[in-house]
Amino acid sequence: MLDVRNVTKTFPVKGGMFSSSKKGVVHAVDNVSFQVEKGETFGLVGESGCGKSTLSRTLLQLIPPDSGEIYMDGKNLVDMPKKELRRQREQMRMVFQKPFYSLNPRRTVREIISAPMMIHRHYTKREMQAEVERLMDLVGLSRSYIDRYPHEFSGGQRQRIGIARALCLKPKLIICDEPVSALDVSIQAQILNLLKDLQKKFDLTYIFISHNLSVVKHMSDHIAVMYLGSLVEVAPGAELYQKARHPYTQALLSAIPDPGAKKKDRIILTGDIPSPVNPPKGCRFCTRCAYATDRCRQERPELKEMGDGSKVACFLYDKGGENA
Amino acid sequence: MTKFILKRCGIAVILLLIVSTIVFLLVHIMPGDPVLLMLGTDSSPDPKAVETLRQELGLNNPLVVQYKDWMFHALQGNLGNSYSEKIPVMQSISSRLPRTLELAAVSLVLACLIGLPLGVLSALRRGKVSDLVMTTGASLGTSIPVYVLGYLLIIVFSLNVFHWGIQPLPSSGYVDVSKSVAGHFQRLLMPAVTLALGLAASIMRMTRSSMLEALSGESVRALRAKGLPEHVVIVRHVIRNAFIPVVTVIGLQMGNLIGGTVLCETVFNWPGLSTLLVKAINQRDYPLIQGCILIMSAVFILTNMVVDIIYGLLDPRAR
Amino acid sequence: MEILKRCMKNKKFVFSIFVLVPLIFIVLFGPMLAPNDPLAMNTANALAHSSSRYPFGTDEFGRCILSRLLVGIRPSMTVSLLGTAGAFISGLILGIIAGYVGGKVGDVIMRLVDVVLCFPPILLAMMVVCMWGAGVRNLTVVVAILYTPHFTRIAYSSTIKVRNMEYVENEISVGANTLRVLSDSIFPNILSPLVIQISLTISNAILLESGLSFLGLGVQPPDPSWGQMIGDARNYLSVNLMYTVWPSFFLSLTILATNLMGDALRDVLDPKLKESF
Repeated sequence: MLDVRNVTKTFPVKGGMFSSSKKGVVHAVDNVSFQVEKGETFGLVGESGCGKSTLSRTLLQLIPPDSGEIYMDGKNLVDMPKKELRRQREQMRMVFQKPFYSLNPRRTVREIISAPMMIHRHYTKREMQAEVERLMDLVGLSRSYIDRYPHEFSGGQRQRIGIARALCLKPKLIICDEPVSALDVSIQAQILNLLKDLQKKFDLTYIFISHNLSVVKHMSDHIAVMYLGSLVEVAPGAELYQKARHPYTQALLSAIPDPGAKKKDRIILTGDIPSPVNPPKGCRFCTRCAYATDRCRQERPELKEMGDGSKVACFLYDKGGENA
Repeated sequence: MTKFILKRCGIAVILLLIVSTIVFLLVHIMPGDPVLLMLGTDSSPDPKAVETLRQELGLNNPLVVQYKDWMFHALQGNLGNSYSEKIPVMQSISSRLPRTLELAAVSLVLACLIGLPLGVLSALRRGKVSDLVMTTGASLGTSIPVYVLGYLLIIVFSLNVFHWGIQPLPSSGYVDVSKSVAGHFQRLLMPAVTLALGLAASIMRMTRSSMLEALSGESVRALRAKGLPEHVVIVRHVIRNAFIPVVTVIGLQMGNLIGGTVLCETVFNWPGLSTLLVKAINQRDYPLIQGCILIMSAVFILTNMVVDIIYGLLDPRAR
Repeated sequence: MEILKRCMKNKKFVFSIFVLVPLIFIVLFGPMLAPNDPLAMNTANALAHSSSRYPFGTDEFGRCILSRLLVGIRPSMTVSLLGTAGAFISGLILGIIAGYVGGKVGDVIMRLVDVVLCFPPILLAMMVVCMWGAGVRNLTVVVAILYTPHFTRIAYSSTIKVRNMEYVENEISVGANTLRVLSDSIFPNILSPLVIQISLTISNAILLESGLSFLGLGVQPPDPSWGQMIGDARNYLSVNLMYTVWPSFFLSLTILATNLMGDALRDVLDPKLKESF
């Protein structure tokens, strides 16, 4: 359903008034490609600053990418004429991370949820009322809250409002950008289950972005791991956790706290995080990788198929599978 | 750090240029013929005299040339001759400028001496009666116009309305320091206090609110938990952090201070730059007007620059 | 509305309303309330103390002080209210454009703002007065120009803060056009600090106008203005004290009320802003 090809987005680094240094460029998103099937949940994992949020913004064309194509149901969103893009935007929505900043504090719940309806088509007041009530029921909010303001709700409830808003006008794709990171753990479970129920009911497709691996594991069918702007591994959910290939993925998985397990060996990454403005010439991860070779430092590995549905960008797996 | 200071100086220079251009243009785009005004509008002027004067003043040259000449002379300190007083503008200004600066400087110092401690005190005694009294006083201080306050002081201290036992203070005039130090300061006291009170009120309010913010901050809690005695916490840490916004407010009040001198000098007949300006305006003496406004704006820009630099010194984040 | 309820609980607000409502009443109906003609001179009765005919006494031309007070508020109010309204509108528009569009346009606008702020307000006003003459109309324009930068700066910084909020991003991603984003998401959320600034500007404008009139550069005689009356009265301090005291008292009271109103609005509106985050 969604086919992303070679999307790149860079940001110039301003040199300041009196500095004579060369202006750098931050590679926020560097030649990223992946596919998302209809009805599945595609997880995107990575640390803060790896470019996941920028990628999600480019998917929605909030930030137009420098190069690459994004095909939604066969139509390229990049450079699409404004009118068509507007129509296309009804199909793709976003649920944001911070429940406190994602709702307009000066608008009631009713106005927030019905905003997409007001922007796109002309509905009668009665139709809008009915629709808002329906959506509130779906996300588990009492109808009596319809005229309240965001500051009167808790974080979890605000997130429900955000989800109701995203469901308005029946989109096909919802990008969830760290939807539960700002919530208490008990509330997180509720919201995640809500998202899963809604997916089943309406055959929604999700792109689920998070830095929390256990949450992503719970939700996703496929998972992509991102590091400093590029994808290093893409695999079906279960596969990734059992057979993580890329050294970075392995390090991430070993860092998941697991109170039940015995004390296990944590892979602790050494070395410095390279600056996003001056990434190393070769593999982005080579400065911290325990297995880095000279080739790693010179060449960039591409995402290659491994045969079992996963892809890895690492020279360790070149020439027919040398398992680390 | 030096980069920051240079940047601020650069901005000040640019602003000075822009201001001087505006001041120059202002005279040339206003209605009326300056030459006729100079020669006196009561008599119908002799056309030859008009023409000669025009040539003398260079008013027949294109505007750009006039601007170049004006700038050239201005940079050398020659701002033309005053129409009404027939002496160089610079002379009039330079005799008066120090007096205005003295008034402003003394008022500023007094205002800080009054406002800062009161602000700290009222923050520490928040909610108590003394705090209420002080904040009400501050509200009054920012609301009562400078000249009203001036007359209030005159009524109380000069006119002997309440028949204090003490000698009434002189309410106007000026005595040079060289002639009589006591007389000079006697006459400086009331105008300076008048200006200072208004400024002190703003300073007090700002000090109070930033002290309150600093007191409730987490760093203070950590310091107390460390076991430092309360007065050390307050003096060394809270006050230092609270002073930064106060510097900003003092900077912002500079404009009001200059405006205040305009009114204060009129009330107390303090012969400073502002009274000169008012006189010049009433007499339509354009070179003098230009000169005064230019110098006053220049002082304003320079003091703002100094405040910015001080702020940059205190708060590394601002650089 | 909820905001009004909170305002009513605030002591400063109640006090200022107490003063400002009668004031507005006087602005509207002043001339009708005056016991005498404010312009009528009677030099034989100059500088008289209060009597039944002249409740506040007379000035140096024998004119009734009370009547002049009642009428003299109008020019001050006109200049400050209209001037502030003008400054608010232009500051709002410039600030939103500078903040939302950003880039070179934003830079140019903010530099212009800095230039206007270079002049101490009274100086700029005096410049304009000596060039184009005094009078209510010119003073209103001066006030509007002088205080536009304050509103522009506030609108600019608020717009930048709001522009990066996720709810604005959401509006855009759903397909809202720029006008809707500005009016629906940005404008309501930058309003509070601007409203507070309005009351502060009004009191500053009153101070400015009365200061100018005091110097003789504001409202011209024979039309009365409170500042002008104080200026005229200063020669007669020892003769008729109340000539100075009455206009001074009412002027200070008015300014105090508008300042307190500004404080009250800040108390009411600001915590709400924090709360909604």
